[in-house]
Amino acid sequence: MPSHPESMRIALLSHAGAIKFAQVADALQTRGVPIFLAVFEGRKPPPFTRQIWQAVAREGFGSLSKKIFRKVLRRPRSPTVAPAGTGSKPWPPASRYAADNGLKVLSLPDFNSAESLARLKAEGIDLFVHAGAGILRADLLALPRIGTLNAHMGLLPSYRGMNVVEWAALNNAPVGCTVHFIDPGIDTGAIVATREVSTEGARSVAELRGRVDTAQLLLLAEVVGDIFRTGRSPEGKPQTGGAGKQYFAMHRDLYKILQDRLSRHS
Amino acid sequence: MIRRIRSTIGYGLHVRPWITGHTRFLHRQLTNQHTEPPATSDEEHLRATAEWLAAAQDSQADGGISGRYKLHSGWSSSYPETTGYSIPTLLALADHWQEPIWKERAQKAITFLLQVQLPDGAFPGGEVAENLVNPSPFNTGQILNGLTSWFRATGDESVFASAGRAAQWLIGMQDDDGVYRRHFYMNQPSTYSTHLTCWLAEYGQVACDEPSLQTASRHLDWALQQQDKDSGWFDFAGFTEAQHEQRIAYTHTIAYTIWGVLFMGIALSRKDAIDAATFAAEGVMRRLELSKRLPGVLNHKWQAVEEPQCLTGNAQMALIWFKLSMVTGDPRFANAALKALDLVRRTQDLENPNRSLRGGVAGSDPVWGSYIPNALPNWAAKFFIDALLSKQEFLQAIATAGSPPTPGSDFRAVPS
Repeated sequence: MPSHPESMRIALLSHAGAIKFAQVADALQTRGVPIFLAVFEGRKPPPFTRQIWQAVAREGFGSLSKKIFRKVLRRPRSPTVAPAGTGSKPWPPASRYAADNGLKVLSLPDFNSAESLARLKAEGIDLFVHAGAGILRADLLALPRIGTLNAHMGLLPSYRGMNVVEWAALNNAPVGCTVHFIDPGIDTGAIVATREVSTEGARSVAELRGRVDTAQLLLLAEVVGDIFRTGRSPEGKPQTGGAGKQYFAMHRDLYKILQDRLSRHS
Repeated sequence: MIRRIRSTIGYGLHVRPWITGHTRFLHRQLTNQHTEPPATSDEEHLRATAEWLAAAQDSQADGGISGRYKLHSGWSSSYPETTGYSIPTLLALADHWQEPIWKERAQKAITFLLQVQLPDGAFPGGEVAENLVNPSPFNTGQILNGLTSWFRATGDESVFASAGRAAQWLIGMQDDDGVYRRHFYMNQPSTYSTHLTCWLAEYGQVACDEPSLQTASRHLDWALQQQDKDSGWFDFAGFTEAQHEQRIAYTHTIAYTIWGVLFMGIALSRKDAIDAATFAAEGVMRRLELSKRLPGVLNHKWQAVEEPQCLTGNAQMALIWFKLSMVTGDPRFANAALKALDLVRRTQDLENPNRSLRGGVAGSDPVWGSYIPNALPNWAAKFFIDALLSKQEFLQAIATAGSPPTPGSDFRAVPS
């Protein structure tokens, strides 16, 4: 049953250090969509000594000491970093954006614990929007009335997974983005909207990613804006098994080939 | 605690840290794993690995290639099986660098192999120090690959005749149901013997020998029936009965199986086999991508059973994935291949003062893993060289074409 727009509760799922949160929140607020709640997941880190032992076991003494040495020598990074290809606007981490914009924040140690689920359920959320959180489990996805939306930097169902802008470009296939409902699979939920992005004149992978990133934020804001105005869940088109492929992080050799091709053809 | 200390000291003595380069090699095992990609180039790795293979051959007086360098006892004796399938690798190096010395090394290997061939055409199993009389179908198949590739490169009729006798023996060893049991361990069939019949198929094509092709096809039919329709796993891909029962195997024999099925699928124009190989290879690819490395022993769901990597398995899977990228046009396979090779590259010691260690590829990563523990087998080097050559070929093809290859592109993977 559609709820009155004024009472619709939209929550963004993220973690305190995520840059994506500010981008999504900004896109929604620009279109007049109020954010009811910012939910941040953040596990308490293990004791320092345990972290050290875990790192040694993972990487060995030599590599770890080299890494620490390099880190000590390197200048500290700016706390506000613009993601590659997203233009010059620097985005603050989620916690600062939420504070600066007076958003109500709920910090939970673990999205999937029974306590967290009960706490979130009590908020009576209509719609979750994925805004830089990790992988979400089925129990969490079952909470909101409408569902959980995600903006994906690839055209579903063909391009699931990681670096899909790069993979589509490498395959000379259309590049674009998708807004879809999240289900327990990897980018396998029902598709709400897709939008192709022109690759014409793109001189680098970063530029291409920037275009798709801009387009996906806009598309997400449009979809959420419609839901907010109508109070209704959009018709999602279910993905059929075998319609697409899951892609993984692109190896630097393939990335370099793509980068060279883009810089040559521009 | 005391037992652990004694065991550590025992291990330390076992691997002879007083031998030049051993301490450095072991130190790298402890301190330099799984971090950043090495700054060294593929050519440097290729050269170093080839020089290691040359050292393995030079360590023997008979022209064969030593089976492995063991940290506790040095070079082992010549291994006919892997000397055999190193021949196309040596020929590919001669071609790649335009250096005749590698072809001369292949010639020495051929001379050695002709000396150990048995009167009935078979070749003995194991290394020459342990066996010169008991025949092995699997090992004969690998040597057939070497003989065939030498004949293709040189037209040497005496080697062609030797290959013909080996092929005839292999045809005679197959049971009526297409399975190889005789002269296999405990007479147990295995699907990794597709890496035997694929070379029979290769010989059949070169020699236009219909019985060889039919024998390969019969075995392929049987192997395809052993595939798990849910996961793509091939049963009986392991070394032992226990592995068969547990449905687990080293990536080395998993890759043997997949390569054999894929190669025969291409050679015999069997789409069902290419699809089956693709299915299995995708399962291994997914494991590599999710784990960021390739555990050495996998089960029928492609889950890790043993974490240490089986490095020859990495290189063999890379070969399969490059080939599949060309056959299917799916660049994800090549992507996995590139990562699998990085994982091997970073384990290599290119500056070790000991020629027996410099550029070699260990059986396991870390070297004390269960696959060929504390040793550097020659086949790990062979498959790594093959995979590096395939990588260069693939990257050149994709850079030239401007996109991943279209399905069915011609691709001269090594070995062809």
